[in-house]
Amino acid sequence: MLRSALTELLPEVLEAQVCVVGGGPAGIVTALELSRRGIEVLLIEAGGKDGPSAGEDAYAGVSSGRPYPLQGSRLRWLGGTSNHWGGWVRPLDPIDFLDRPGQSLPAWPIKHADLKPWYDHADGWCEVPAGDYDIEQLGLMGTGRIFDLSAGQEFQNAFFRVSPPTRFGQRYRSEIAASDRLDCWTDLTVVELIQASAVIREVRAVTTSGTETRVRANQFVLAMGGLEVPRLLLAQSEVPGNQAGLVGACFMDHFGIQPGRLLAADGLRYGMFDWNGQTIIPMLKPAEGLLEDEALPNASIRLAATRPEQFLPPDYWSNRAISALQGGEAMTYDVIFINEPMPDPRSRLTLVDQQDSFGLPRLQLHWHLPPGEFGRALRLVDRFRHFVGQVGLGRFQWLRREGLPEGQTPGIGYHHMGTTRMSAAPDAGVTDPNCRVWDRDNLYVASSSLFSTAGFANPTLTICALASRLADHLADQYRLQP
Amino acid sequence: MSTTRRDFVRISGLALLVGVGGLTSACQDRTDVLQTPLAHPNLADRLIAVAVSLRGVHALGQDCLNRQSQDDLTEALIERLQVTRADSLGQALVASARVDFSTGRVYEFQDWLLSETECLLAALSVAVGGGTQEEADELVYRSFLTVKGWGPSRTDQGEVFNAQSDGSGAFWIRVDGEASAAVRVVLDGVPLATTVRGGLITAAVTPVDAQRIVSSPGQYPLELLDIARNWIQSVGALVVDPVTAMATLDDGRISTVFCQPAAWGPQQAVEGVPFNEQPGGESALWIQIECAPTDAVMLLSGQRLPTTVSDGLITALVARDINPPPGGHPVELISDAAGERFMLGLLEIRAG
Ligand SMILES: Cc1cc2nc3c(=O)[nH]c(=O)nc-3n(C[C@H](O)[C@H](O)[C@H](O)COP(=O)(O)OP(=O)(O)OC[C@H]3O[C@@H](n4cnc5c(N)ncnc54)[C@H](O)[C@@H]3O)c2cc1C
Repeated sequence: MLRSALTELLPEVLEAQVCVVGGGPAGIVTALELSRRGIEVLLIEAGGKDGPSAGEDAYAGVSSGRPYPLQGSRLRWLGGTSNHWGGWVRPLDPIDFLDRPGQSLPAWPIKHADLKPWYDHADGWCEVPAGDYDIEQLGLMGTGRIFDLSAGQEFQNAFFRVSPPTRFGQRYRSEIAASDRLDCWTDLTVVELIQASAVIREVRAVTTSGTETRVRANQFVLAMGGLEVPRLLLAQSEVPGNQAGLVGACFMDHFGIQPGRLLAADGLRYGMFDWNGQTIIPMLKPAEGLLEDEALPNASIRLAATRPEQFLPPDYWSNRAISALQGGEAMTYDVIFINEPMPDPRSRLTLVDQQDSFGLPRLQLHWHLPPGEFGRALRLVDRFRHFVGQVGLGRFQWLRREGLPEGQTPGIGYHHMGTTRMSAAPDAGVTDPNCRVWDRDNLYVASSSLFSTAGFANPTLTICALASRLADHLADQYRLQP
Repeated sequence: MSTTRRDFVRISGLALLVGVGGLTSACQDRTDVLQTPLAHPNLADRLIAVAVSLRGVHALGQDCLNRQSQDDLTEALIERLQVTRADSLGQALVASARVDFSTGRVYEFQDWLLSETECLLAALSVAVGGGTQEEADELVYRSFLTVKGWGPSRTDQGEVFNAQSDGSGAFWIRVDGEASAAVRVVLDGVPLATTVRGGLITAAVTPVDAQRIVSSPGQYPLELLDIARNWIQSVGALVVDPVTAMATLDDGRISTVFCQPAAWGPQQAVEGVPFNEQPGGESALWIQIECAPTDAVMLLSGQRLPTTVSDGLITALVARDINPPPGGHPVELISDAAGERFMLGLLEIRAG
């Protein structure tokens, strides 16, 4: 069922087995996976069915450190930010789940293999072809569109798939509306968790017109995005999961730099194109071996054809005595690195005194992306520029060797990660490996706020995989009941 | 540029080398030159032949020449090539450059990271008078893509073409095969944000540019530019059609059938002298008007004239026996079907 709390009579109490708060990709996947398993679910969405109704101002906040668009980076209506996401999907790499040199906090308490079946599932939610993200299988090698790189080299080919992009609120609306197990209320904002020691008894939710309801359930799943989940937690008089002071901490977003140009063979396609019936975005990335040994970030490297520069024209790289290009032409490319940030507790969300119209304190995001982070990324660039020379792929020119000065915003992904990180023990995170808030029995999170580390891959596929896995875990609890 | 003593020594040494070898014959077939075995007795000459034929190395070669400490570039290069144990000169050059990168024998030129081998080779090239570098700035008109279709090609004044929700306009161009990612769509000389997906090229015109264009009727050339090669090709033109205002009738209403006339004439004549004289001796009046009904009739001093309505133009004949006296004579347009009438102005007749 799909109802608006502004136009339909809102009961004083809503009840279900599981309550999911937030109707973006995370919430919709969790709710539908549960209802498909026969669980009664309430899905509570703050925005409207087709637009934000009046509540969008709730996203306004203050940013310090690197300026960050708190409002522009998310949407508040059914489908959430998927109403304007770009649709790039890719799982995190196996290495992203592991502890690596230079990390001050532990990585994920689960492995890529634990999530693998759920990634396959998530492909379906995001409407991309199922299958491994194995570049070999694409048949691109030897076509001149990507470099012919072999295993064991310092940099490897990889690729993103591209979702239509799925607008989750529209795409899954009919199933939501038709389900007799799922009751979805829009225009209803959850503002309070009513707690009794280690459990959440109910949540309080309000409309823009001031009507109020209580939602009762056995389990509560917070799926309001990587900024609103910690915000709601921090706004409680007793902050769930904050035993290590990490609620809201370790905010991460992928940051982009364009450090240089590459002179290489013409016709390379490290950008979006259609290939054998699917849309893909090939890219380069550092090999796992390189990341295991050195304190370097994982990153995606893309090339975009650009104007030749004056000192080393494409002609230079078509000299067979220099490039060994077999009679082919050469091209100048801009090189774009999208980098993995490190979890750092100094990069964090807190609340300010000012409140939004629902009475929730507004957010302050201090995005701490220090020069050291750029230093790591630039060291990777340096490896890349030597690599292309060593293997004879091309020649690299620096455009920018320094990090961005403090106060300036680099390219950003609008990916809000790490603010309720998953950990193997309560002292290093907010949730356990099953996405349950460590010190609450029935409070769960479905969001990129769970990400212990960030990799470079855009987060939504992993969000959907985690949400499917969580739903399965919750449903298990009902299966076990007599 | 001044020549240092060291440059002089090196260049003269090379000149000598060039003098003894079969440079001319080697130049004739570059493939052969690159395949020269490293043990070849004239390897030095062959190397020079390769250097001479290099393209795009002039700026680099100059820089390397100025920085080099070797007195004999050829010798220095051959020494490096022998270490590679490659089969041929071409393979040895490429291999030596790779070895340089692996062993840290690199060199920075204008922020490019290069191998010492290629630096030596570029220096040699310039020293022996090779190393051409074309000016890449000139745009070359060249048909590099086969356009199968494109749009939109027309819009009305004030109407953003293919308008998007943010006020920007958009074009699509379909071409044969796959377009290069270096292709940009150019509208009225302005490169647009362009997306290339296989044979489909799309481009967005910012809301500000879109407004500028649709506010003035005319033709705006649409072109494809390959920014990597500086090639440009014409696709067509976006036509912005003027939206003509409708005429205001004598009673103040806005006409439903007549556009506002752009011009009419003649507006002056001399008594007794035919104006705008036609082959039959009649005078003629004309009106430039974008739209008019087929039953439109022109009136001179209230008298209906034989009128012809054609595309954008209305003409009417004034018979030879009509001789308007000096003074102002109203010229009007009427449509009986629409029940509309309005005055264009006065035809001034001066005394003869
Ligand atoms: C411009 C842009 C492009 C992007 N492109 C990509 C991409 O290419 N690939 C990719 O993987 N990711 C991309 N993303 C990120 C992607 O949109 C997010 O990862 C994804 O939407 C997160 O899903 P979510 O459900 O966790 O949160 P959201 O999508 O933000 O949904 C949260 C939902 O919770 C609701 N809500 C908030 N507070 C409350 C409350 N108190 N009570 C009830 N409901 C509440 C909101 O209204 C919203 O509907 C992009 C983001 C942006 C901004």
